[in-house]
Amino acid sequence: MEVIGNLLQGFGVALQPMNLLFCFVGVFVGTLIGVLPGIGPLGAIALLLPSTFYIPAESALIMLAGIYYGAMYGGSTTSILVNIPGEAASVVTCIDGHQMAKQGRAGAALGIAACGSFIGGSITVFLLALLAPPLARLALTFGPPEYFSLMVLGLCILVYLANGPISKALVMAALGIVLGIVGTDTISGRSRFTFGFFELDDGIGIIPVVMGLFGVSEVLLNVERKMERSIAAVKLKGLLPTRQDWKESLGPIFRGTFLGFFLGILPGGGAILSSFASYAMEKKLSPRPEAFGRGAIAGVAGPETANNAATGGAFIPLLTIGIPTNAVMALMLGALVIHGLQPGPLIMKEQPALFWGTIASMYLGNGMLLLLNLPFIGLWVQILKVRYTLLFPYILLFCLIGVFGVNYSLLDTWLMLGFGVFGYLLRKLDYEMAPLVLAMILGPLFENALRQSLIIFNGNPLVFFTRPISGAFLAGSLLLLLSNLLPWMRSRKKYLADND
Amino acid sequence: MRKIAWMGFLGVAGLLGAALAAGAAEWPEKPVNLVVGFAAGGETDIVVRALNDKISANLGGQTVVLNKPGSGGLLAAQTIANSPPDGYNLLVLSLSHVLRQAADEKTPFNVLTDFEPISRIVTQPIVLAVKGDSRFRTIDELIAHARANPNTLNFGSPGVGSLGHFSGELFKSAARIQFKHVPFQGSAPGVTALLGGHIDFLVTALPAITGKVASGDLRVLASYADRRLPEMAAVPTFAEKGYPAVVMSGWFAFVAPAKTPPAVIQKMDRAVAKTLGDPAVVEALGKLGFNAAHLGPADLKAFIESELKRASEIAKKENIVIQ
Repeated sequence: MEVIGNLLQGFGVALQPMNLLFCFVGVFVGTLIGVLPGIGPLGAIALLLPSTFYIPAESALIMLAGIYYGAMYGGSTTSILVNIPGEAASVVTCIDGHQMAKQGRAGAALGIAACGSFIGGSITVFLLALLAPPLARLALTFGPPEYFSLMVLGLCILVYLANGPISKALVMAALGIVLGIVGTDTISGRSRFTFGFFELDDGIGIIPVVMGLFGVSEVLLNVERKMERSIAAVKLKGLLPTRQDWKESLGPIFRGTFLGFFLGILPGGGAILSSFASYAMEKKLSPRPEAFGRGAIAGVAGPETANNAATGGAFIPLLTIGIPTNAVMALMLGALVIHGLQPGPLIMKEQPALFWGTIASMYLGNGMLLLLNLPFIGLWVQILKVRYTLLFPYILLFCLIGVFGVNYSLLDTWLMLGFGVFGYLLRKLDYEMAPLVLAMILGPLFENALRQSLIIFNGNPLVFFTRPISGAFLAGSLLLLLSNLLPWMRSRKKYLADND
Repeated sequence: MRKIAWMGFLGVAGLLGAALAAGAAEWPEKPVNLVVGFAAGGETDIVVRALNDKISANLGGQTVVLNKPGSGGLLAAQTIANSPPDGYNLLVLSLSHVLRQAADEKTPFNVLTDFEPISRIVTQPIVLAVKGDSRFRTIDELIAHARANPNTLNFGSPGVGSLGHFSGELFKSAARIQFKHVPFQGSAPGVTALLGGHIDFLVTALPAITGKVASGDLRVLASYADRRLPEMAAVPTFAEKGYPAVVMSGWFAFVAPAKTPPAVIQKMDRAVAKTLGDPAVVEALGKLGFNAAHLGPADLKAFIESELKRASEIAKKENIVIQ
């Protein structure tokens, strides 16, 4: 088996003391920034990128990858215990994870998040090794029409995520799309909604928006509350999920692994979308959908597994065709190019140490993370137990440094603070912010793909239905919408029958 | 991480310091910022970092690469255009700044009047590429097809007003053919679409596709260089195919804010020229896909003027407008 041979070679590289050390540094920093709200993997990698100029390329990639998937572990801790997502991909974990914590089951939630992440991460590493070459070819068959239909599906998923009134979710989604429009239009080159500020040409960054809405607003909200300690207590012995928990979680974990892995491969997909998609899927598949939002363990296990699996999937396009699928991967690409390496089909052949070494290190890193996050969970909780009067200023400081560090832009800093206040108002008025963020990411991709498709196919909209993959996505969207309508139609029928 | 954050703060502090302490006796008395309008790891950043240490040594003073990304490099250009002309903040100007000015009458700087040219550093070949198994084996076949079937071929570029877009339109008007323009958000999505066969050809800077050309996934049909590229001797230039006006290459250059003292300009140019004369530097740049191509202050000034004139003509003729 060629795969086994390749992986063995990879372990040979990853097990070198130097690379083990960088792997550990990566996952440790990743967990730390994952735990700390406000600063996410993107900010951390951006801050650390210059330091990788001085170490070998494979060590650099091993460390940066460690930060990325390490953050996915750490992010769940904060989501569950304090109801603040440690990073954007853990937003959805707040919903049920924090409910579980309130019910005294924080240990089980943390345990299942770490175990799910480990299982998802480990399976993904093998999938990555096995499927990288053929999957890269599959991803290439996605042209603008396929992306368009995928985005339609993505926007339909938004409807599914809606907690509470659907009208509020729609308002948020529409607002997200409008925010996504700001900046230079890719197709025409015209600036839209920039009001003459050419700093806005690049659009409103997703990082300041997420940090503001989720990080800053949480601090604001907590400042006015009379604080009883809302960090849920964790008993170490309660960390292992019960047999019943496992029974409810195994399905979500395995589904989340494959869903996350697949979505991670697609540009624009990645960890955030996969966690939302997994949550929506589990909610629909669950025999007890009403338990979601009230502490369903499946709502923690699925998304937490999916976001980890997505980080693995995201490496496929980068390492096989040299295309980054998200901002974090773009930074990784930068790290490789700094070392004079051109990621592409040749990298697997010419730099086997780099390619297979990084993959093998991800397996080792996932093991380290399980150790870091289960027996040592107390350590990370200690960080969160720091008094709020101390913690909140630090969170704000980390948010400020983090958001400034990505682009060295003061505008981003102000945007984050603005969205912090806005997020505070939204929370007060019970608007959900997740649809806004998701629509802001999907909206521009949706529009570009639509208009590119129409240019290529001379304005013929039928192409979206006649191309098989695109048609399948649209059919999926339609099914999702119909299945959403079914309960309404049933109640309507019943209503009509009752009033006959 | 804290250390890096501090480095970031010091960089900013340096910038402020430079702004305050104008009027130096013997330039440079303190570190000189080489301001790159793109993030660390971008191609501009890589080139400048590859040169930085040698320039420092040849200058006899520290130079520091400072990333100021935003609005496709415009933010950095605007900042430097408004910086004091003391020689401590230099901009890495590129063809994209010139193209932007040609396509956008509201560009917040003027490449001719706001900057003092110092040295051109590198040029970068631009090529027209198709998928490896494309039905077009030569550029002549592609032109013949486009002529027989106007507006059927799809031409991908890294964005409206990009170097690839201008170069593609230049080819279109010189060859008197018609094809559709599909803009993508940067070169990576365009390359993916080409690899997947969703567009017919792509015009882009060569380094963006070098790996895929070597592997055979993409083929270069023609280059925009003035003579055949040494690394691709079999690929014809547009000029030799009978389109002498279709010559273009990307370039980076150091410029200073207008009214910077000539002594500073000359000293910096000498350090850059010496750096680019080093065979090891030339080889390192070659590996990154760039050609060392030094021009001194006077030549660079004339060069920028002619580039802007030509870009403005293309923009007008093909109606390329950014607003």
